[in-house]
Amino acid sequence: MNKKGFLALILAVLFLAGIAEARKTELTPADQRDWQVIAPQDSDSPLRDYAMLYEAGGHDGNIGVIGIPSMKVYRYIKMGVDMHNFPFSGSNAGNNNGTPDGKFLWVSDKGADAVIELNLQTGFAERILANPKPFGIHHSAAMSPNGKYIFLTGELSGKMAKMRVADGATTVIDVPPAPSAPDYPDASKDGKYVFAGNYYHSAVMVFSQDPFKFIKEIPVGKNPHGTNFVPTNRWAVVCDKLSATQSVIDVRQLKVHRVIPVGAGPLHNQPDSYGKYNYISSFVSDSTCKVDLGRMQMVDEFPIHYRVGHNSISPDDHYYVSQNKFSTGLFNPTGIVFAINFEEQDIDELSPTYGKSVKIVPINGEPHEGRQIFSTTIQRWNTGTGGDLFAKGYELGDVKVSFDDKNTPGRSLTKRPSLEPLHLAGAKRYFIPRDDGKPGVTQEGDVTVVRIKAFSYGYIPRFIHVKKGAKVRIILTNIDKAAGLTKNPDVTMGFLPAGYYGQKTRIDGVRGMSGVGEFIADKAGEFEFYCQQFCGPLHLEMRGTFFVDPPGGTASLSVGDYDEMSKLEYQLGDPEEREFITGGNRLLNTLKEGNEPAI
Amino acid sequence: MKKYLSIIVISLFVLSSGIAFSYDGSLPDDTSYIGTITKIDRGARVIELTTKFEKTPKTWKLNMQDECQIQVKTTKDPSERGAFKKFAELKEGTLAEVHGWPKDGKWLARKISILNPDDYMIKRLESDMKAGVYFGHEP
Repeated sequence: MNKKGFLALILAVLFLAGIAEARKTELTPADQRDWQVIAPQDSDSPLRDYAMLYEAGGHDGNIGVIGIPSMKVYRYIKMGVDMHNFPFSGSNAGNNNGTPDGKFLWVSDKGADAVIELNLQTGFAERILANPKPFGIHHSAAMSPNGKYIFLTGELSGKMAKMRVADGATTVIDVPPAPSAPDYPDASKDGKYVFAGNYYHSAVMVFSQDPFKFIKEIPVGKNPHGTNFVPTNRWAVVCDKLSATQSVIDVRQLKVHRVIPVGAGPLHNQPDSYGKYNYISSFVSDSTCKVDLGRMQMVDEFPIHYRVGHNSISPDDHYYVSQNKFSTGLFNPTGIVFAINFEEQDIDELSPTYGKSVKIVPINGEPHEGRQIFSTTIQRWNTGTGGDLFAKGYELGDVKVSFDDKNTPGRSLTKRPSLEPLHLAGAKRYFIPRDDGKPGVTQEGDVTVVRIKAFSYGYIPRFIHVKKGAKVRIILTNIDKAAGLTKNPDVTMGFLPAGYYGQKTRIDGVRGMSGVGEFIADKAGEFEFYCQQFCGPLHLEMRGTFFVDPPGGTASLSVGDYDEMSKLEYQLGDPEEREFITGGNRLLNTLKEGNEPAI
Repeated sequence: MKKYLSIIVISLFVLSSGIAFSYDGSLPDDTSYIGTITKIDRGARVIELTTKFEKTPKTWKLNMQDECQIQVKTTKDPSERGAFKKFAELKEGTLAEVHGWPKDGKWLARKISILNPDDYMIKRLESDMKAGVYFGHEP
């Protein structure tokens, strides 16, 4: 055999050996990560769920309860007008889920400018903590480590508040320099600081928890939103919405430690309970971005469907839920307001479905904050043990949890309220064919007609004046051609004045028709209005001001019927239910600074 | 002389700042620790936890608050997920994550989470440690 023949023989042998290797059927780890798995999975529709996701449903006015990992909707609990953010009672020790004691959650109602308490054990709204008027709450997700105080951001007034949840006593401070828009807050795990993003300043505002005061602002990327402390309290992670970065703040030095590039449009953080990974919802890139805080870099990215806003993580760090704002083309239509969706992703790195979406379900409203809790925390009261709830309480291991809070206004050992705060009161709403009238205020007979054009991201006009006592007709027309930056064809616009009129009108504006709301402007004051339907990354900045001017004057944040509104505070079906309302202007600045430790 | 003294003072300040802000593992004012429970004083309700996944393990004395929950966070037994445990059931040698905060010279534990050593996060922290990425160190 010559040299060429010998070489050809070797090549032929190698070729055959290669084919034999390729035909081997043994599964490699990469094969096992595929969708085709035989072993039963956690998410295979279990009858019992090991965790529960509570979500603030936005403009549906509910708290939704969803099973993890099945993603089955268990309940929608009626709460108010426009539900945004909440902590579980207990402590903020840990990640965003905190250390719940299972008694309450306190959710901010941006529409009604209040905080509503949900009793997790009865499953009903139990008390209303009214904000001092005017305030303009947005998020109130920050709770002190000892669980006695919540920190409220007055996004619409440039103020911050510290409220004692036992009785609603509140201290309000200004956020300098004006204009300020403190939005998403978090409280440090050691009781020292409260951080809040301020999109007008592209900075994180730093406050001390005790005494409650402004300390400084830390410049971060453009238009910061989600701001959260990690469980070790070493870092605070900030989503720089318009910079497509994550600013990592060194909490000891109060300065930016690192800026990490992430997917475009980062909105919210979910650090795991170790503080190792931070999962970020990225609205524009349609993805979940996984940042390794040990390496200070993004290490993975999972696609979502579509346009995520908030997010949540299971208490064992095994599942992540992307709370998506749009379901374009995914589900059946449900009318003008479409169903958004929740998409569950497997984040267990050893799971065969790691990084995959394992469930996607349509959801009501436009959910904001989502927090998860082990199901073991919610007791089974409906098998004859309900009476124990009043005096005996329940046990979480050695820890005895009691509802014996008889010193709290509106509470007693023998009464657990079951409130149904009105979603809309005295409101007349309807739809008409698209109204192309000139935007502005006109008088038509005895009706003051206000034509508003809504678009991504703003209103024409932005400032509206009507006289006190006027019969007002708001006509809202969505003039978006292709829904702004995101180009979703099904964007709905909204109009909701926060506070007193928040319960009287809440208009949805779909393209092609106009939404109308009618009410009597019987209370003077300055009311910020906003878009309650998520319409894109700058949806939060879509704001305007509705002035109801008193006779002979102009309304402002200091001229208005605020004391009178504070006496009403919140509209309830039964006037006697007002005994379950606390806080408001009556308890404004009654919280003694420096005397109220946060830990 | 004053010049030398000021140089020494400035050097010491820079050095101490460096020490104060260099993160080489867990610190006394961290608000969570991961490690093994090495000692339990049941009468005083104090546990000692020796950290894992750090370059040099540290031992912290943790005082349990009255409200301190003990809960199974990750486990091989699905029916045990989220189960609350009594203090008497807590054993030395348990891998745990503890959340709480320092106050008045003591570290007060609010939650003790029992961990599964085979859970993906533990495996991740172990493999990172082997690769030289230690938990809680300056990245």
